[in-house]
Amino acid sequence: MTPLAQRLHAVLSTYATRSRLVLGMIFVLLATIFLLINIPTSGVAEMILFPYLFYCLLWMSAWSNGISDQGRWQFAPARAAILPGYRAPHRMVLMGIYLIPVALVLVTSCMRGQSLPGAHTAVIAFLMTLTIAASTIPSGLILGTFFGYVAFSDYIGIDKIPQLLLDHPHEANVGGILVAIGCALIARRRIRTLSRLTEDDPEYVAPTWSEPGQAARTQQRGALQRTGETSTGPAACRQTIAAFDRWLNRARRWNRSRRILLPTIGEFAVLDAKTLALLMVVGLFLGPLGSFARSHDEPPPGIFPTLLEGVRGLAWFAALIAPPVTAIVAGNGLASRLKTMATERLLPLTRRTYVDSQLVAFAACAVGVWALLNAIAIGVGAFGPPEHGDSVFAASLVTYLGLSFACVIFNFGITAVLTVTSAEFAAIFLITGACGTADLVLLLLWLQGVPDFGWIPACIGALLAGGAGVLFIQHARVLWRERELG
Amino acid sequence: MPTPVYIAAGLKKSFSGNPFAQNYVLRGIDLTVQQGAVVGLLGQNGSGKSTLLKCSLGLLRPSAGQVTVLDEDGWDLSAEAKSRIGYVPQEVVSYPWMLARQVIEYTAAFYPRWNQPLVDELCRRWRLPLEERVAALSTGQLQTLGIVLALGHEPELLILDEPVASLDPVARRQFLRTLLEIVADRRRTVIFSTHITSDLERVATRVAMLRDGVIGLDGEMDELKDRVKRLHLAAAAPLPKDLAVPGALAVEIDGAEASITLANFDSSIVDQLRVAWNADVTVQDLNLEEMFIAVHEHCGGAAPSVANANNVKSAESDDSRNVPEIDCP
Amino acid sequence: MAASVRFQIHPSSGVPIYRQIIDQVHALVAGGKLRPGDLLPSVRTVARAADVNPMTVSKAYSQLESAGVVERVRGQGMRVLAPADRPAPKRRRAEFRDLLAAALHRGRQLGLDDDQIQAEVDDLLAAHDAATAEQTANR
Repeated sequence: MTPLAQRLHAVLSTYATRSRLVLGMIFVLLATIFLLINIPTSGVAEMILFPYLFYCLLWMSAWSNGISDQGRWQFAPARAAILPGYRAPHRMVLMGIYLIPVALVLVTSCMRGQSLPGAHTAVIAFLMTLTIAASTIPSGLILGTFFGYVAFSDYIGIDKIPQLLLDHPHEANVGGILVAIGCALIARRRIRTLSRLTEDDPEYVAPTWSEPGQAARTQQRGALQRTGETSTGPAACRQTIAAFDRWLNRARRWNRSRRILLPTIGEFAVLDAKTLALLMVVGLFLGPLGSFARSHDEPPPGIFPTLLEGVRGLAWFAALIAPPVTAIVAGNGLASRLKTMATERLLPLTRRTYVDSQLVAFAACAVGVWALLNAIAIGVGAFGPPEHGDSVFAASLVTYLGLSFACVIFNFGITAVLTVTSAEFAAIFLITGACGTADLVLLLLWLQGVPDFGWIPACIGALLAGGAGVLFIQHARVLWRERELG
Repeated sequence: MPTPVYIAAGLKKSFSGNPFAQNYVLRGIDLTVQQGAVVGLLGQNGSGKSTLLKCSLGLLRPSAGQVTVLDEDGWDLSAEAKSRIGYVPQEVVSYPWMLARQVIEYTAAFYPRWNQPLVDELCRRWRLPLEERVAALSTGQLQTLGIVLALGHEPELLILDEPVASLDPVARRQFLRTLLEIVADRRRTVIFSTHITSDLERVATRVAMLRDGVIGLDGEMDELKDRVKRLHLAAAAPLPKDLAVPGALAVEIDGAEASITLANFDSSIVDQLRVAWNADVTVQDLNLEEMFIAVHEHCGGAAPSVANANNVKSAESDDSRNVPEIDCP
Repeated sequence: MAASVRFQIHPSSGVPIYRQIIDQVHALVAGGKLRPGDLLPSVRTVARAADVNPMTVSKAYSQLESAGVVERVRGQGMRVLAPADRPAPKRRRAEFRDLLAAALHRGRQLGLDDDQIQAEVDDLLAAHDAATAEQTANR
């Protein structure tokens, strides 16, 4: 066996080549430091910080997902089992990546002379463990929990916890350290499991999806059949698939321009159906819980009002956050279909028809999500009762909708343009992330400060964003039409 | 008079965006294919076969030169032209969430002329599981699906990028039989890349060997076999190391013995060598694989010198048949 | 009958397929297995049986036709002609000459003189003719 230092160096350099991971690391460090600084409790600063932290956390989750993915990438292929001394340095590096933010929080917290370094460490260790184990948990569940947490953080009484901990600093620190150690042990176990992946594990499928070639496909297929993903599943899933099949079976009778939209919508529909189903489940659980927690000093007002309160919170949050994010995902849609595109572009259609219909399909998805979520939110009265009088409320709602729609168009357009070139993932994520944050800030500012700002700036903002979005989409049409597929 | 359905003229392709550091994958391809021809495109991995085919279909834009397919610019094919072309990519990609049958129906819906009985027959023959999700198909089955999709509209021009690479020998032979049935209709043209030379020898009427981005050897299959021969010399005395024979693809000398691969065999050369070196000369027929190796090994080594050229008469002098192009960088 | 004729085609041989068919027809005719008036199997049959391109088979048949070995009969196919009707092809003589030249050269290397070589050629010819005559008698 070669010396451990030499192998360790080799492993580190592998991880360093993934710019996504390196950049993610920077974001994670920034986010952890921000989490330690006392967040201002009111005013515009909070409005700006909140979306920023949201994107930091998204980054963090993407990053640790990346680590998990990279880990599987390293351990799944046959060479992991064959190369001498392969696993040990890989495990060490993964554990190192896990421990860095934890250690950083501990050190920062101590240095700032805070009284609860143990509790802080516990929080970050818990977050890191959650994200490193993320790939074993359905992403919808994580996202749902996260949405739920943000939506109900006010209600669950989290603000009571710090005071509780501050009253008992010694216990809190000891307990925190114990929790952190427990989390680290779970993470270690997770990493060990990763390092011993065999073809029998359903997880083995994941990294090979992106690996072209026959052998990968064969393994993938084996795993797919083992997990029975194609034939079994919950009854609801099977019924959805059956309904989808019936829909597909009729598709031949559609006209040509509608047909080309089919695979695009289909792909999106399958993905969204899963996530939405999970979100609904999470919402059903968290909704009543949140309302219950909120009314801890009063008797619960009954099941229906409690449920409605929870649904309102969720709908408000979903309508605010989901459309801009969906627009970014949809804007990336064409790029995600590069492989099928090579085949589809040889269907008897002109290039223009093809590209336009694809863009229309993805834009329809983005706009559809926007319309649906906002309709739900308005339907359940999530935007609040007309406090400023009916006419003022209606006008401000329309302005909000316009602003929100403009953000969707803008995000979709800029992503569609950026992804034409197979440029660095990180750069695209950065720009779209910045746009998303800006959208959220804009929308939150508007929602909170209607009477102060007036209509004019909002209308100008909506026009500018929407106009730029349309220009971007126009440009994307040309770029995608001329794009090579090799 | 057959008409050309495919013309590549001065086709170059570079993947580098930097105009000063062009690294050409294709360095000037000239290829004309007449209607009814079955052209086999041979080449090592990375020789640019796929790139050439992709440039021909508008999936890649040529850096220089032009491809004309069915009288249209390859980069900008009309819907009508596309409905007359069939293409099987090296790696067939489809929609994992659809059933194989749904993918076929979906694709069929785009073509004005679609021969469903033919598709049914092919699926039956190749035992394609129609009610299976694409995600669960094996590599071979996926390839088969790709082939069925490319044949369903009975294209006039069929372009296949290593169509049989992931098929087992039985399935490969079945595919070849289908291909033979297709080309029995002389209006059909097939261009396919492969490195399985034995398949080519059964179906191809013409062979083009791609090497370092240019067509290294191009000719009718029968003509090539008639004229590319290897001579084995067993001389009485050791042969000079720099023995050169005009038109030789490869010369290997080992003491008094030598083997010479000729691009343009002529029986008179045998007599000349026999007399000049007082040697036993036997002529060996070469199959495509041996030719392929000869072309690549010759071009990889030093160019043959012209010393001793006066010992042998020029081989081309009394040959009126057109000479296969040998182009070595 | 023609249906019994099967060509042994080796696509991966260095000899082009069309030439393999031509050579085998010549051999079958010379060996008496194909007689004047017999029909060659159809292009489609040959191509199917050997899994080769029908164009190659029809190329072989066309060359046999122009060499005067067979004639095309409308609606029936290719019919073998009587040997007297066809001229001795120059090309076949040239090919034979090449074969002989190599043998002669080897003979010289082995130190045989003109008479010895001549005697061997005569012997071989006599033996071959006798064998052919015997085969015909047995039929």
